[in-house]
Amino acid sequence: MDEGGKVMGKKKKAIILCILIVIILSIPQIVKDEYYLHIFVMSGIWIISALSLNLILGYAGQLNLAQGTFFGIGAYATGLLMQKMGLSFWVALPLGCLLTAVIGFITGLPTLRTRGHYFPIATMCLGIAIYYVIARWDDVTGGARGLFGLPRPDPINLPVLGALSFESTQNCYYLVFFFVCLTILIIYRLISSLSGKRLIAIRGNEDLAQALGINTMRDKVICFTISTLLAGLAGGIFASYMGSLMAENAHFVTSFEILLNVMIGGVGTLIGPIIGAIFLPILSEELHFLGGWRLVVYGIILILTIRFLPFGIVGGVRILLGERFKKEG
Amino acid sequence: MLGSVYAMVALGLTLIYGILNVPNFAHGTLYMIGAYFAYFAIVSFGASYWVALFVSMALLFVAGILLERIVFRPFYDKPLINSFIVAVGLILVLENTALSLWGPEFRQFSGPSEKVIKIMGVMITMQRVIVILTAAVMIWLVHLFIKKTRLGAAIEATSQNPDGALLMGINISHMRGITFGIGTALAAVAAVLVAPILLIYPAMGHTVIGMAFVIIIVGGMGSFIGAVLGGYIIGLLETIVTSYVTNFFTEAIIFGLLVILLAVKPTGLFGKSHG
Repeated sequence: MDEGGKVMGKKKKAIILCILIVIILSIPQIVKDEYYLHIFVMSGIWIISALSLNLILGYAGQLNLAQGTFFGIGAYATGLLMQKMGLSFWVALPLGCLLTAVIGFITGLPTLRTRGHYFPIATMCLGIAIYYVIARWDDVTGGARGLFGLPRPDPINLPVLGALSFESTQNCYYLVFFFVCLTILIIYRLISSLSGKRLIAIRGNEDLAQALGINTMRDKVICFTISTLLAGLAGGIFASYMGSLMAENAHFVTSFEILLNVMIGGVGTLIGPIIGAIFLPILSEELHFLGGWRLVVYGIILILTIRFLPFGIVGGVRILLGERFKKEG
Repeated sequence: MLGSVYAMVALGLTLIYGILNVPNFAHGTLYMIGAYFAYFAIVSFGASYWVALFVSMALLFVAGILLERIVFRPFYDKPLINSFIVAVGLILVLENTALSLWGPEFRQFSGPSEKVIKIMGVMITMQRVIVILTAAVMIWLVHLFIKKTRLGAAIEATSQNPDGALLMGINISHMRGITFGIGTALAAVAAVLVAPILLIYPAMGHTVIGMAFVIIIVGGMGSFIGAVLGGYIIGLLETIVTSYVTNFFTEAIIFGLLVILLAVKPTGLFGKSHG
């Protein structure tokens, strides 16, 4: 491709992006139905968690089965800081994320030493262990009863528009949209940087990457820590938005749901997890009449996707477009 | 008692791992299904305990072969991560099928004998003795099967070197199916044995599968003796921690110890190095 084509491509992309942003921003003005707005907000939260998992799974090639647990840690940390310490959401959320990242860092050090089969197993065990701590630590987390009455984010005072409160679903939608953009930006910066390339090298062949002088352990731990931080972010927003938490939010079923979003959308691409996280909650609503069978269908979809479309919807679209298969870097 | 159950579940898991190279995350779910089969054999069809045990074992053996054939076989030449995710999908399917069909409530059936006997001054229920003895017999049988029969030797060969086994004229696909069947049948036996003491519910496999993975990591993945010894060690450890330290954070302590072990020796206590 010559230089001009590249510039054109960039311009085109920028235009498409602008149109998309306008559409996304205008959705709450068009869709007045609270229920659908709620689904969109949830989609946003799932997008953040799916992107966080995709960072470690799609780029560094490490299947972390405790991502839902870190989501739960972030949710509980933010919720407890608000409820027990009386902190504002805007203080509690960064602290909650930070705490999640610290736990991610500490647990990442030993688990990331393992390779191949051992890493998913180690993280699954980790997830079960942390789940039990949350489910049984009655004095702090409310145990099996859960945590109730968490406040929505405090209003922020804007210079021109006045106070912006987050009591309405509509404003929460914008709040989540902001954090989704932030997450995409962080991940985009990370994977376009040199360390992103190093992560992809680790996914390809860890021994080879190490032989080439990459400090694979360091890169993996950094990636894992950022990934848990983002999962914590999603959890923190979830806590404040929903107003209540159950120990189940930290269960490994949550990890599975996040994994499902990533795999259905397309692992290892930036857009894939976003598509998956928008598509699945809608599918989930459509399948509501199935009751408990919904998750059975999920499982079957997951297996079939891996079987026939290992790169999810994005991979499928690429095959349809006949594009030479290449992974986004 | 717990040790016996863990040893059997872990043994099944390690057999499957050894030959398929897949950590079957759905093993605990199959354990749960085994318990339900026995429950329905007893409650709906009026079968005796031992018949139910056998029926559940046979059904799960067949189920294991089918699952290997339909679900896992297409993924052998694919990246490892695909098999993990397929196993996760299988958990979703099986567990929620159980939940939808049979509901979340706890169920229980009684064992063959409710008697309490006294051994060397210790009171112990008959069921616990049955668990310990049956588990020991089953483990011994599996050991004999692998070491003394031609089929067992073929399975062992496949786990040691699939390509070599193929060259010797062993049908690897069959071996994988049979091993998967044996592994899940063992899980079923463990579940039926322990069901009269614990309870049956759709999520009953969660802790067990976590523990079983701890065990095969401690014992070294794919190691027979490691799984059995590891099972008894972890079972004992869990009992000791529960009785003398705390019963709140037992799992957390054991999984925590595992993470530390992994950090120090990533291949387990009896494990060979991995690539």
